[in-house]
Amino acid sequence: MSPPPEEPLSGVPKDVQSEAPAESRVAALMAWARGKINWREPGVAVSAGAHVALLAATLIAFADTKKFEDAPESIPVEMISDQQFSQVMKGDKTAKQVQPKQNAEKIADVTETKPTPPVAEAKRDVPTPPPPLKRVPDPGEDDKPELKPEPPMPPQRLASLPPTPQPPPRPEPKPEPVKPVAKAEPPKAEAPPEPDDPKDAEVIKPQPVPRPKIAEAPKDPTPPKPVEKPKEPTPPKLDEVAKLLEKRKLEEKAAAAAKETPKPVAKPKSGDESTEHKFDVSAISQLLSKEAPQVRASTGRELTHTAALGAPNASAARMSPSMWDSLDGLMREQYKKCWSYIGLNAQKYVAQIRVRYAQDGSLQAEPALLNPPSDPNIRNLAESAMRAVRRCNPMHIPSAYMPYYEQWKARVVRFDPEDML
Amino acid sequence: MTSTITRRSAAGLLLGATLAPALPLRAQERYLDVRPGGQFRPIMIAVTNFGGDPDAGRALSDIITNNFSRSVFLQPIDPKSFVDRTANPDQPPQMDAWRVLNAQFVVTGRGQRGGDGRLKSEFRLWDVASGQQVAGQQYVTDPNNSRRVAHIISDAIFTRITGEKGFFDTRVVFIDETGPKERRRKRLAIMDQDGQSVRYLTRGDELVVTPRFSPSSQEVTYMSFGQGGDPRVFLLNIESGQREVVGNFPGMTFAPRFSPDGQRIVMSLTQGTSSNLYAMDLRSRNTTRLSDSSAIDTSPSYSPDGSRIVFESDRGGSQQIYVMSGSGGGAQRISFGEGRYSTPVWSPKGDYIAFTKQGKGSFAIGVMKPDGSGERILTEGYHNEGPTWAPNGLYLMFFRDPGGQAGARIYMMDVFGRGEFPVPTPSFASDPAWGPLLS
Repeated sequence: MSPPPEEPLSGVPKDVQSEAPAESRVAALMAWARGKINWREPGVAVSAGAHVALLAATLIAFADTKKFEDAPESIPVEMISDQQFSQVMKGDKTAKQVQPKQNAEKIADVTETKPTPPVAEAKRDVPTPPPPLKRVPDPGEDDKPELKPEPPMPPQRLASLPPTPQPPPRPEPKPEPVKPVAKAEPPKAEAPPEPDDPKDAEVIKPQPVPRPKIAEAPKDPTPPKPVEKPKEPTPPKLDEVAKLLEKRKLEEKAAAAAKETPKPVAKPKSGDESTEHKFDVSAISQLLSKEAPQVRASTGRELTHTAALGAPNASAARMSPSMWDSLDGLMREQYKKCWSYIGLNAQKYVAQIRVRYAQDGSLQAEPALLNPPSDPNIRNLAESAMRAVRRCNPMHIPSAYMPYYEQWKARVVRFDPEDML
Repeated sequence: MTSTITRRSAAGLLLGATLAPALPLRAQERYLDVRPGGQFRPIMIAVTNFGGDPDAGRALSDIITNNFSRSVFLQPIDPKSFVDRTANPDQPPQMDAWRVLNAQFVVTGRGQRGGDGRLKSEFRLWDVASGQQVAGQQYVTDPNNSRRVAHIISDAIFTRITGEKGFFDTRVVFIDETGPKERRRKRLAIMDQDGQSVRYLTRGDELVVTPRFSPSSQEVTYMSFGQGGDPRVFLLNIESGQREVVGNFPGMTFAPRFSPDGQRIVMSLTQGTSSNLYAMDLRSRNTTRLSDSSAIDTSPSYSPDGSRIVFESDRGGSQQIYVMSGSGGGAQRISFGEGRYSTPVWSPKGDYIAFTKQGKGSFAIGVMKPDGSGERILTEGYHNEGPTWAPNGLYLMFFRDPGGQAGARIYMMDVFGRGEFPVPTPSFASDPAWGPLLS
């Protein structure tokens, strides 16, 4: 609160601004305020007056200068019509129907490339191969997660079997490993167990090739779960197995509190359901499985992110409600003109007619009356509605609606004679 | 569609269900609701010249076209615009050509005199939209009946298209008026509904009024002033010309009308200063008194089921319309508009009561529902009076007197008031009474 002594704007007499103690300064200030100007030192008054004048001048001078406009942050807004919106949202009609590549989230290791090709081949094979046919029944059974304990199986056969069933169920490599196991097992029942199993098991570890898994199963005629655990690498997707694994892991954790449990941690995907999972930030490393992941990111030689094309009539461009309304209005007006309704029927009857349009709005098929009247007196009403549909052929539908043909190509038109009088 | 599930509707549902898989039926299928929105659109129909004998065929198609032109609901297309005036009745017409004319139906036909001198007529009705024949009929008659054949064909087509009963093959009795205004000669006459084939039923030496057609037989009841004595209600058989007095009452009887079954006549009987309603059974000749008031009750008309009678009465101070039970008893007033209401007539369909309404210096013809609601004035002018219903309840005839030296003429209009057509008569005409369908 100690202004510089020469504070120009203050207009306070110098004596007031002196180093005097606070009380005397206040007194001097009061005196000055009461108009007691010390005319012996006019400089102060002159200075004060000049400053006041200057201040007033600036106030007046700047009073009407334009204020700086607040520069609002500009947000680009683009107005688009519903139609445009729909255009934006829809897929590209001219897009090639590409056989979608397998979705690959990771670049595959050398070994991982293997699984993909078999899948493709399997797909091709599906129609032709006689051997797969025999096994076809098996896959159906396989779907059920039950594991048949009976191991007897010729490994080679098994190996060939799994590929075929795999592709159809899941194109992605992930599922493959799991399915093979399940699939393999059922066949085992038929075939006698084989000594080759161990070998297969090794193979399995590196990759989801079906064979190895099969091998495992044979090894242990009893439920494969226990077998897998020791062997570590071949954890089937089966939730049960995963749960078991995780449970065990947790138990061990609790017991030893050792953070380095080497045991294969079931990937969260498979074992997520188990709720006991505690998250410990400091133990993140523990959470990282050192095992090859059971559920792998889909891999391929190159990364491909293929969006689903969708079924043509499922994810096609959708008309917005207002487009629907305007299309309805257009069609309704045309039908109104085509409908010679003479309003003679007292009964309430609303003819419902299924109409299928071709692209040009013409009838693609004979209109079908969905609710033929049982009362002969209103037959003419139903007929008048049918005539209206036929007379309005072709229905004029603006080209703007062509892209949405799938949505309006089949409709039920209801002719409601209400309010005729 | 009613809420009851009938076999056919169930079949329809089944049909829809079987079709469904064939069609890519989306879950959220949108209905398109079409409502006429009060817009009335007559059905366009093209009546081609009938083939066969040029004269006979042409006569048939002309009568049919003329009939349709007064039907309001069907609108014949001007034959001048036809590409093919005489379509071969044995072949389906060129639907595309008719579609261009906006025709919804095409009538082809033939009228030919056979070796026996009888007239063979046939017609086919084609739905242009579907290209299908929807009706066809053949008639063999005496050539003198060719007009009736044309009317019958008209009715068949009208019924097929509209679902309503026809009305073309009907006749109308009316009062033919000739001579100067001061000394009109009034004769009872009968004509086809299109004004043709007029025939006179009385000689005109006595005054006749209010003829009424029997709804079930070729009989007419009317009031005649006779020669001397009180005016009486008579019953006349059109075919035989036989006529008789209805009942033997001490006073003047007037305003007769048949019951819907044609077995009774209800009328007014004047006793002193009051008039009351009586019904007489035509077989037993028993009379029943229906109303008992000191007022003037007249113009009774049965409802189609005979359970009620509508009539006019001034018991409330001015002429108004009342409804009472068909067996008499207490009456309920149903007209509450401004003015005086008279000559109520119950529609054969039962949905409306037509009336004459007087007020503000004019006479109007209107209809109201049997409970008195929904009153609609169909025509209004210097003098309109005496509505009578077509047997299908869709049309009314009445007579209109423009005043001055001119006399009354008969007009026809539909119950919705959409069209009005003069009925040609040889001279002035009044008091029309529409008869039943002949066929």
